[in-house]
Amino acid sequence: MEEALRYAGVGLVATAALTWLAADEARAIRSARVAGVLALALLALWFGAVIWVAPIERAQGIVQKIFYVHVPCAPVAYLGFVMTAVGGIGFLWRRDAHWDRVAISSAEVGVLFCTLILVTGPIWAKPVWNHWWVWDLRLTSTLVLWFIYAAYLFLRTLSSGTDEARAFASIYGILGTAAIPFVFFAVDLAQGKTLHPSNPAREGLPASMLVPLLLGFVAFACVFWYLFARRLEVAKLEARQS
Amino acid sequence: MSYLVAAYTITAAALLGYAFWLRRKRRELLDRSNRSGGGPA
Repeated sequence: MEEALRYAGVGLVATAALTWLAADEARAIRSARVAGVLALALLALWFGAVIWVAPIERAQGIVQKIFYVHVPCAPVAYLGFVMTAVGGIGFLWRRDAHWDRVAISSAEVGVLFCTLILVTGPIWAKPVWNHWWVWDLRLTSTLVLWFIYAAYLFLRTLSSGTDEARAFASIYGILGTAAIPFVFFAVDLAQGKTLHPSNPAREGLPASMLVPLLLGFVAFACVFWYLFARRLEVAKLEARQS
Repeated sequence: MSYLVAAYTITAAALLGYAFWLRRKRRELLDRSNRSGGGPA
């Protein structure tokens, strides 16, 4: 319970910061440059830490270092989907198309990061488990989460730009977030019937592994911020020209 | 080693590819907006 509250707290702070930013579209778009510079600097630090600070794990060897790219993608994908819900709530509350653009932009970047989870995971699993994929609860629920938001994006490209379509998509985007806690706690829910390792914070990582992992979280969050701001600008320009 | 390189290369390619696609799209839209007299966003 304490662990869940800690993660929820960090998620809430990140969501609150992005919501504040997204509340003013011009401010969010202007922030892209700062986000880009920050992201590049942090990515360089993160990559350096992965190469020089992170040790080569004894059991898995160098392939364990995939962990530092795979794990940070997950909270960023969740952040994208939570922001889709925030955009949806904003739209239903204010009936302002700007919040709908926030929802679409977050969903698209969230799906990108979720795709990366689903690609880098099997690349790690093949040499370690000797299987690209197993239908275990964490992997399957992550795939379901990807389908939920891929379907959201598909729905958005097919639907007309009416307020009814936006409202329907908003409700769908909000309901979709119900899958996130399920994915996050899938390893616990499986009660040992899973190959997927437990959440990294529980494994008591040494500082040499924790530093690159935390740098990865912050760097990928900044990459999300940059891509979100750029995607929001594209959505705004498209809306202006349609 | 090849698995490690593949994971990092795919991630970098996906993020850079998406960033450049957004950049190109943004430029196209801004150009179109300027041509029609709309001015930059």
